[in-house]
Amino acid sequence: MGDSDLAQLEAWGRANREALRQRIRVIQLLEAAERAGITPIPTGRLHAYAYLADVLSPVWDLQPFDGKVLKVKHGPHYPDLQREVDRLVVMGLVTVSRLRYVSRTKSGPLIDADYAINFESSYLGPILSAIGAGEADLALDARDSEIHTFLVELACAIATVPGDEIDSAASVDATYADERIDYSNVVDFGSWSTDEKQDNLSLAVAERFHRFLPGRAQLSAGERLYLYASFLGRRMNGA
Amino acid sequence: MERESLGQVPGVKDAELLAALNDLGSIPTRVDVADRFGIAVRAIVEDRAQNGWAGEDSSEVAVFLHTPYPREIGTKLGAAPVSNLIANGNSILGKLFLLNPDASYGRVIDLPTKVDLIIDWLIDGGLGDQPVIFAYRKSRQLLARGKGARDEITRKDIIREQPPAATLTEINDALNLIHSQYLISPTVCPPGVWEKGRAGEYIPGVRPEKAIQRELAIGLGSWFHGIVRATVEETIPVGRIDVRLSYIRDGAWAYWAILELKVLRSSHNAPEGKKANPVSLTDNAEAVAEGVRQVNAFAKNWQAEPLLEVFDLRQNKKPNILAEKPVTQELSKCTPVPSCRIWPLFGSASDARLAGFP
Repeated sequence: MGDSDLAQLEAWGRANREALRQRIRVIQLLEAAERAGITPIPTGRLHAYAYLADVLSPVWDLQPFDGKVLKVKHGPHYPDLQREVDRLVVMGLVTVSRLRYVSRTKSGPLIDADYAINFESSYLGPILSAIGAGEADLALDARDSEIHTFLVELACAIATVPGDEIDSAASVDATYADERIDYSNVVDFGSWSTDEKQDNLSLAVAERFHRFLPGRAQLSAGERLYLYASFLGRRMNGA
Repeated sequence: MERESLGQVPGVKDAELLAALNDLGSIPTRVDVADRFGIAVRAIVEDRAQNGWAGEDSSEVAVFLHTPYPREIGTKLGAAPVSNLIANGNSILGKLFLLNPDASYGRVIDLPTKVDLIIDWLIDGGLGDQPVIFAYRKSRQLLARGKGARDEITRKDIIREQPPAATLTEINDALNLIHSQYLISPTVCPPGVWEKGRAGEYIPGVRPEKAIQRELAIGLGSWFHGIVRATVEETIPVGRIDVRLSYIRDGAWAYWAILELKVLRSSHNAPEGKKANPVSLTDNAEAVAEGVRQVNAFAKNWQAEPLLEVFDLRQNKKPNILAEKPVTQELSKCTPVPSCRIWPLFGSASDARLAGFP
């Protein structure tokens, strides 16, 4: 095998590893959304949830899956994640329903749909166990169990916001809505950022709540997620 | 551990954070899923009761099942999606809900069989291990089976037709209920209060205060859900065992009451087969005196109601510990004098009955 073949093989491996990571991420997100009862989940809502999971990961002492996102008017959208959603549909692990065509004048057309876990897939059980969504001791990586706990708690917190408002929740998020960053620019809260507390304003908000409690009263990470969801809900309604 | 917070967050007004904090009393607390589900369902059912069961038909019972995947089970049963049960105000009686841990989203179907047969129906359908709660309108009872339909009733609550109010009378009512239903004898009290298999000998667990503290936090959190936050502080110096109640006073969260917990013992903990060393009256009295000092200091610092709750695990409940010199000396230094109550716990149900508790 020549050098160029080897380089090609390594490139293929890297590309597929990234795809696999994204695929696992999709299943983790959808499985947590199932537990929160918010499935089938529309495309925009899934991407909003994925974004909030990234920007609020540090509240749970976790690294974001992706510490940056392109700021666009209709809210966060991750092409790589969407590609893996579509592949999982083809693989039979994710179901798609209410497939629809959304016409947009400026940004071009969009295919929208609702997604959910396909519980009839015989592969699902072992996959969920391996990625930390089953018995904790069956996870291939112990950190995945913690990620799973976080994602379920976040999905339940987001579920306190009325369903149709979840889609736009990310757009009013403190980091995404930061006026210092214009549309079509990258919002970096954890990729190249050297100061997480300066650049992740969502984390700063979540950690500031306890300042308004008496004494040394503490808030758990879960409570901070719920308070942040309440903050988003009120922002959307102008309250 | 909390990180050090930044100052004001760019683009975010502190008023927005304060507004969000109004919801803190309704946010799930650090309890297990069954208790979390139970607190959320209670809020839904009492919301309907407090609205005079408006919109309900002649049905008398609602069933709430927590299931890991509401949609999966719901699809098999032909159930409809349901969300925001408090806000939507829709009828709940005559229905079986399949819900997430906060009872906020899930699926619903009409009760699939007669009420008397629901437990069998759940077990036969493979749903017998999920926390389930039955709400009965006529008898105003909320019966929870936290370990699933196939297990015993773990909690009983009265469906209140008036919302809770943050008053000392209601704290007393809540404590009476917690004491009589969840603490009084080993058959109902949580693991850890008594040494396993040795309750009859009046040998306490290793840290009975922790088990009692947890029960109080759940019970008070459920009772005052929505208006009061019941917390167990975990960063307090070793030896402090309390439950702190906070509420919104003058537009901001403030401590309302502090419940300092103390346990009276006949003996120290000892596992099966080991002799348990006795605890003297003086040691018990000193512990209570220390509790008086602690609750008094906290209450002064935070303008909170001082409540000393003493759980008496002694076989012989006399003499009255509050009349012992170390305690009376401490109490005489307090202005105002904290409320001090003694809650007897018995090593057997028959001892409780003999003492006049049903």
